[in-house]
Amino acid sequence: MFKKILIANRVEIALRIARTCREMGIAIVAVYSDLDAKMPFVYFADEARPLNGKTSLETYLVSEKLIEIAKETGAEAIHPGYGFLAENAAFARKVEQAGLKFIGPPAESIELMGNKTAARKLMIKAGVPVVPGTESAIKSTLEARQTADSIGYPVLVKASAGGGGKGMRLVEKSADLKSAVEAAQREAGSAFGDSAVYIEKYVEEPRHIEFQVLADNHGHTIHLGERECSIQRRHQKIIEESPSSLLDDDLRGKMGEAAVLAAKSCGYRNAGTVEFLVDKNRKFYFLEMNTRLQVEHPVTELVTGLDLVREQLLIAAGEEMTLSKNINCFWGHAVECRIYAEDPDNNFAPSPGKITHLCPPYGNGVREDSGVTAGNEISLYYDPMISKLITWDSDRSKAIDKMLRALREYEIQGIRTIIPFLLKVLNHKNFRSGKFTTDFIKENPQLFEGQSQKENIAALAAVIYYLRKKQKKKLVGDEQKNSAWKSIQRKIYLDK
Amino acid sequence: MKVFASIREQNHEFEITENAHSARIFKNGHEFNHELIHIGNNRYSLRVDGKSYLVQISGNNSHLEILIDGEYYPVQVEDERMRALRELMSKSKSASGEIGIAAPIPGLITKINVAEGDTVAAGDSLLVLEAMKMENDIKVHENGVVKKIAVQAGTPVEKDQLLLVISAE
Repeated sequence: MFKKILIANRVEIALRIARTCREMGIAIVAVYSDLDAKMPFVYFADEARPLNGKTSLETYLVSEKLIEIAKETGAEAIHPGYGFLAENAAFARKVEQAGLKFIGPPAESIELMGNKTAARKLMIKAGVPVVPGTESAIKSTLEARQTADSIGYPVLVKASAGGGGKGMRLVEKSADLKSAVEAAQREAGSAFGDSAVYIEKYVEEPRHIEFQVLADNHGHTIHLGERECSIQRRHQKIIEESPSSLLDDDLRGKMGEAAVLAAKSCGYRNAGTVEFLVDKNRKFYFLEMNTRLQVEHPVTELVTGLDLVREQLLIAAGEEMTLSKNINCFWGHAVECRIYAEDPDNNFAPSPGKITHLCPPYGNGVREDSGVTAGNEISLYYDPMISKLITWDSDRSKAIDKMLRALREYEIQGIRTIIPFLLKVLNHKNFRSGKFTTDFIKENPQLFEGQSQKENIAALAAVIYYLRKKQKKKLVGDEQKNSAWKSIQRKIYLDK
Repeated sequence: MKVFASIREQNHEFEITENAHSARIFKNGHEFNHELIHIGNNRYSLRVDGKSYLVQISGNNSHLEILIDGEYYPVQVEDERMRALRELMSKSKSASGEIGIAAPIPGLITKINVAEGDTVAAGDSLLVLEAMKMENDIKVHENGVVKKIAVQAGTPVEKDQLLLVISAE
């Protein structure tokens, strides 16, 4: 096993990785930007080196600096965490070329999975289902009709250069196809200067379900079951859980098998995640593979009993991983909430500032993977996620109840967080019953309305507080009067 | 005395009877049996009619940020006098982009903090109006320029008398 590694990341994930290293007796080298000097991941480490700069571009994204510090400090490997350089094939290659180990997959796997078209072709070849559709721009109405007929309605007509829903049309039946294609082409042409459109199957009532995979250098590639990540806002996951309320043993087996196939097809090693969309008919389609440790990995850890960072270190060091068989059944249920420093009363605008008080929840079944402490400044320069709160219990309903309890216990002052919003999602009847899609938040605008549960108590507390402050002011006034009176008396006495 | 607490446009009205040592608080005829104990770090243990809460309170005297059970409550607290002042201030706005600022109560102008032509930002103090031995800071609520000052320091004013005109940005 490694004696010392460098963690090329910050706050929450840097601390998460460092904790496992400490447990395994591996020395930790932290690197930090100017703004992060006071963050817990820096003082937790055995050695800490400044990256001298503020923005990510000046610091956590400069591969040369990171590799140089690793060599200077005698670190044998670099853990990239997630984000920043975690899925940068060039960085993985440079690390290996410098004679260090990259704690992640081979550069070739990152490259293959990083290219959408290449990954799609690879999956078709490997027999992993992908969303059916044309691979290139359609050339004629006839071609469009043939494609749509073969994949089945409804279909989506999408701009090749697209984004943001522009040049996109949902087509329910064959009769509407021609005009939809023409409209999409016009829109794409004026929005992107490129009128090329393609057709793909519209995934109805989609759920985002992903599989955790592990592969070592001893011939084992396994999956550890799924994570349900359908609760998303602006394409960002906010609540994840394992297992998914949608899957049964049969579907889990099939999807797990496909995930292992996907990993094998790109020569994968280390921890990775294969993301799927599952439609209303329980058909699943490969979405993409994330070639790194995921933010939401703790839910898998809680229901499997594995430490995924430990597995990553074992694999990177060339050792055998702990298990050699797939995990298809779980120990209880785990839920994770991402705590973002955003203001739910102000359209989720970032809420930067200094944390003046922080006391996370404790108690049975609660895990907090945080990266900040009271006194830390949340800056606008980096991701607004400050912490992940994870709860475990014997079944889904109890795990959600536990999360509600824990979120209400979370004490934080100085910045605002999305906790009130999370509470509303967790209390929603469709979330509780497990019946939701990736459009859950979009379809429920009432989730954004202000809370009023304890409004009467808040009003009363405010009034008591207000009266007390007023009373205090009066008292201070009286004291001053008294002391002035006393001093006059004293003066008279002394003058006598 | 009446005290109002408004939370996201919801108005809560309380009736207060104060003596030298304590305040009795009523709402719709119900008297609250209450106790608020400061624990530290803006955290308070609140007991109301036998029920117990942890309340975090921050902010200044009239604009409070309250956190109970993971939920935020931005609260504006004011008594009758303050509310009357504020309502008058907002009434005296005219539609032309010029805002006339009138005296909310009769009193004496003790200090003028701005000059004609000055640029002012929302929240700036324009002048001080002394009434009932209390100094009231008359503040501007919009960014703008001081177009006219209609009073002089040291002069008494009547209620609703025009004090200044601000042309808003």
